[in-house]
Amino acid sequence: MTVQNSAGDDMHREYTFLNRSRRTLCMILAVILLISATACGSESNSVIEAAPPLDPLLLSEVVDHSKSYAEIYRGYSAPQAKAPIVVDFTDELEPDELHDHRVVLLEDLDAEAIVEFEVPTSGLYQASLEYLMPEGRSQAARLELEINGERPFTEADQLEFPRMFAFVGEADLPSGERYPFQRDGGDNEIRPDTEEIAIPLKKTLQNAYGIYGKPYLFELEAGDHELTLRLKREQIGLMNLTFEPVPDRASAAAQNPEVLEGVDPIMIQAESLHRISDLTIFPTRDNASVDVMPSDPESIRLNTMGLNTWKYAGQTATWRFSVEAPGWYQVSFRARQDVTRGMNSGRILRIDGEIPFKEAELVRFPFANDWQLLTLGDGNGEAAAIYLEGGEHTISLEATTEEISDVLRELQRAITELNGWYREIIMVTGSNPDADRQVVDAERDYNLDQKIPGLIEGFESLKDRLELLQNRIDEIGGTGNAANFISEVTYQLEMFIDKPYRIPTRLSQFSGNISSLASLMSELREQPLELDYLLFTPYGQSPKAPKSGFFEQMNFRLQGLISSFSIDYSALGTTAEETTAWTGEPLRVWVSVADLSGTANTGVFSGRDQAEVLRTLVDNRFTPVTNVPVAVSLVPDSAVLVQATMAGMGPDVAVFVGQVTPAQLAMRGALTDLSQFATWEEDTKSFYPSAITPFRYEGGVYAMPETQSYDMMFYRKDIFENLGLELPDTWDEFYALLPELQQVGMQAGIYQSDQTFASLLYQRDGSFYNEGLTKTTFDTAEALDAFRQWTGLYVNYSLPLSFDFFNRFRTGEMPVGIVRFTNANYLSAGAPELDGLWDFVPVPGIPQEDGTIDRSVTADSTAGILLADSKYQEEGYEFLRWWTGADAQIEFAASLEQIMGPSARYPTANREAFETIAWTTEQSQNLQQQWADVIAIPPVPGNYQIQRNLNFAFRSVVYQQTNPRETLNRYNNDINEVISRKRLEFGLTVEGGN
Amino acid sequence: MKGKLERKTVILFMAPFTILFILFTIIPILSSIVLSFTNFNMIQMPDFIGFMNYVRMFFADDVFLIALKNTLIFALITGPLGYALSFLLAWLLNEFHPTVRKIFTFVFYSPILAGNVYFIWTYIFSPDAYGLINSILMRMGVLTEPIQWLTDPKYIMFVVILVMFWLSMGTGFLAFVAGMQNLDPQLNEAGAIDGVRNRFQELWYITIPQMVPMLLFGAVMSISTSFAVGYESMAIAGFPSTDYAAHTLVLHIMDYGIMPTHYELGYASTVAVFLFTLMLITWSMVNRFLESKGE
Repeated sequence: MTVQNSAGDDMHREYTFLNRSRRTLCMILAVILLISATACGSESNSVIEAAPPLDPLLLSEVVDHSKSYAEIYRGYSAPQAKAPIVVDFTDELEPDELHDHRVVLLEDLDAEAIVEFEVPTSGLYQASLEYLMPEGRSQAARLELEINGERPFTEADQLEFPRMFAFVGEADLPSGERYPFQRDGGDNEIRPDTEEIAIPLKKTLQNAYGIYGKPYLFELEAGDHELTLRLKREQIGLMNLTFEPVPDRASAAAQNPEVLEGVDPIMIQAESLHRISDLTIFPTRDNASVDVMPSDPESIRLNTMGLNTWKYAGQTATWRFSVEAPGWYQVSFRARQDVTRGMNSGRILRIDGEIPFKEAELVRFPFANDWQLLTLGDGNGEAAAIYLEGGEHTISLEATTEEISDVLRELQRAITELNGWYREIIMVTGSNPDADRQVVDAERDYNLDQKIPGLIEGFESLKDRLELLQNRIDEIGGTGNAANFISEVTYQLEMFIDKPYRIPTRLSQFSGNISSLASLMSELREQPLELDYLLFTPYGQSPKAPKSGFFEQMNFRLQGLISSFSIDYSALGTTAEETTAWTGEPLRVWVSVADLSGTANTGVFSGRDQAEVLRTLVDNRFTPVTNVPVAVSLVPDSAVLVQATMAGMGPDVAVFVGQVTPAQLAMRGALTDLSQFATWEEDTKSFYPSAITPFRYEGGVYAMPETQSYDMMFYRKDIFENLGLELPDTWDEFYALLPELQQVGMQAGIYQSDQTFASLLYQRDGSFYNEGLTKTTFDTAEALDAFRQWTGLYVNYSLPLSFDFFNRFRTGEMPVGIVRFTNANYLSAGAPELDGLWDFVPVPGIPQEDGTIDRSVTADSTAGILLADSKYQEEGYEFLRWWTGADAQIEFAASLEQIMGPSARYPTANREAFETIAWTTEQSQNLQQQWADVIAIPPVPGNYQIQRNLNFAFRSVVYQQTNPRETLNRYNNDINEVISRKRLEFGLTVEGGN
Repeated sequence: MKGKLERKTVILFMAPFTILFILFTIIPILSSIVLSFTNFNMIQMPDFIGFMNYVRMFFADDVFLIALKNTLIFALITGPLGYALSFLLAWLLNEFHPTVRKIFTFVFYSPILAGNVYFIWTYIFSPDAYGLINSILMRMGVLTEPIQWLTDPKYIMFVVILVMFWLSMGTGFLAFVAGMQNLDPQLNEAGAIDGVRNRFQELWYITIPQMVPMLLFGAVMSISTSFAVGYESMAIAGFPSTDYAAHTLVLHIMDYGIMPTHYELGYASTVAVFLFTLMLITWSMVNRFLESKGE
């Protein structure tokens, strides 16, 4: 009984405890609810403060004797100009007709327009060009400007002139209406198709990279001058160039606005864009809140714009709206800038193409985690007023780095100097810790401060300047990364100045810090901003953002959560096109993300972005023509194709399939032989045979090539020039280069992959297999020779076995390397400080008897395949034919680059499409030369063993110094055993003498 | 009537587990036994080839022998040592104040909690000259050039074994820690009266016999983990490791079954059946030994 009793007591106690704790819990919940409800109810509504005037930051007292704009600007002495000078090209030169306008067309690279003009009074002018763009690769045009046959400053060869685009059908919409985005089968809004608008455009000449925020100034003396514009990229139709005085705008506070009563605010949905200067700006979405307009908990609504895509200086977005009641208005933005912590995002605001007052020259959107309603201020903490006539208007925002440009410029200079010192140091100590670590000995003093004249002074000046930079960033309001990176470098420099003997032991940290500064620079350059809507509120009313209550928001999120269980995130949606002719299921197309991101991009973007582009392309170009609906899905990698096919769940067509998979599947009878289709011969004529060989098996061809990426030799122009090195053309020259590099502590990089062996073997006219593809030919003299060279690179010439090419190339420690040309994407995206300092050429080769050099290299490719089980053989082939054809590839490559920038440059296998890729003329020629020498190894059953065993053989020779001949033989026997076994498995004949 | 109803209840209660057990354990085991007698390329229908796969496995597959050797190293050395280590550690921890004990238990168990954190070892043993161990050794002047820890067959096994030790404080360890707290202190007192002279005698004669269920559980866990070493080795040494130096039976099965290389599911099943039998035998031996200890 007692036991029971105490148990009862316990229960009772527990019950009261529960009761009490439940009550506490309820109270806590209620408080949380209340707090969050009030937090939800009040969205901050503030006026954008005007930028405090900052002194120009010209820290570098050391004149660097370059003719950079910073130096030239310092030398300006003329007064501000008073009156504009218009230089009309069409008057002076023979004009052409373009879209009903008279222009002077520059079509070919280095085409020039030279005109004379007269300057009445000396002065400082800014310049703007009026131009018209002919159709082209939808990139901005680039011009070089010369005055009197000379570039006024070095950056004058990088003047960019953007195009103008609009959504298809936007012009027909009544003003103020949201653009009706198309929807797919799942009621999701899809990205609209865009078209170029051929109208005259005007652009003020300024730095394309945002290093100088303000427009360039030109000092022109009175008298006659000659102006030259030379084409550097794309094509352009010139109209006129105006040298004009720098406008001195009054403040908005100086106006006398009148209150406007009885008028409703005008709301413009930001995603409903009127004009964009760059295709990277597109409607985006935020489905996390019911307050983003419009919203839907389940399906995609494109309800914002600019998320992560509108961040580089010069990118402009324009909206149009109409005003019924003329009068004074104030302008507000529902905006979010949650990317660059502590920094502002700068925009130039224009109404009807004109900057209305001083405060609009730089509108600063501050960092905030959530959406804010921001009203343009007049500099005195009040809302600025804008007078709008009745009728149609446009408002535009252009990204600008003005606030941070001084910092960017000084940072760039500091990085260049730091890299310079780094290279000088490693010339003394050797950087290559792999081979010379015993040399970089903590105990030994190199007397670096004496051996490298000016080192300590250089470090001191850098340290002072970096500290000033940090102060400036603090002044702007920046916290976080920026300050940390810089203070780490100043701290290290301080230590180097105090204890120069410690420098050699801290080299890798030092180069790491320089890289961090470089990434900081690319981070600071970005001016991201996301907009939900723009609001014109009549002057006198206070701007209000429609606001939902807590429960509304909770309901929205709940619905979203519930629907997330039923949404298939791997499906990118089916074409909504309702076609009467089609009765079956849609054509199922799988996109393999791993292979896609492996070849077609840089790792900067997930494969999903590219797949979306592909989907849009299918929607716009394939389905409307063929009436075949297509369902695109993402799969992690092409290896799942085998399992899916086994389970009978495979797709009809798979694209971006890795090089080895098609043969694997074909050997097992899972793929359709594409060469049996009537048009195959015709459809594959723009591919090199090397693009098709990897997919040939026993007389059939089982895939259509999409991409091919092969090795090029990358080199640092600046370092080769400094050291007076020659680019190697043959392996002998390459070997001669190595000691020269090693002397100054640098190294060359070649990845130890078995593909290097294949390249070396084919350069000797060797081959992998015998005629019948039944056996390897690694027992030949050529193969042994190639194997010796391959292992010798690491044993005799001490190339590093493992390295990170990107980092070492960037610091200059590895100024030359043989890597896939797609590395150019990484470099252009991730190393802006190296812009123009590197290039690539074909790889070194082996001279042949006829005097040519054999530069054979292998390639990685991806391809599209058609599954044999598919019910839709004809349609499937039609899809592959369309997709790998020139038109689709050109458009895909162009869209990728437009949307994601040059870091998404696409290595198409289609030679016709390659012509349109925006490589420079020289790069394009080099790539094409190397491309012609690309070799491909046909697939054989069991070939995976070759890669495996070659690597084993390599490691055995390099690590354990075994005899190359015996090692290669031993592993080769094993390879041939596997090949024979696999051939038997697939019912093929086997080499007898094995 | 009553008996029938009771039987129905029993069946009803057993059904969920039985169905899942049949679906996910019995059927896969049976089907891999069946597949082990076939040649199956995963896409076309399998052909029956009798014992050919077994013959090939034992007499014609050198890599299988390497994998078997490595698996046995893990099963007979790493597994038992890790097992003993985690028991000793649990025993030592038992002496501490409960709070301290909790902290230490957490620390030792954290590698498992953290999931795939063994990737950290690929950084520690990175073959690059800037890799942690290489750079330290080179700075100290022990090495003049970096050791290729993860690709040189001389070092691969060493690194993988090290990582497996680090990971050995698994669920078994938690069971030991928990079991130690349920020991009956009266038995220790009785033991002291009966002449137990030191802590090790106490451990051997009093603690261990009380711990048999936990020890059994720990043994099962330890055997299954050490026979199933594969992913860890692959994450560290790559796939395949140089000269198959860290190849195990599980990796061999993966190589033939799911890697995009051989696609020989029949042969993979043969190796799997072999591994299954091996584990069964080992477990029944351990079971017998521990049960004898319990009596």
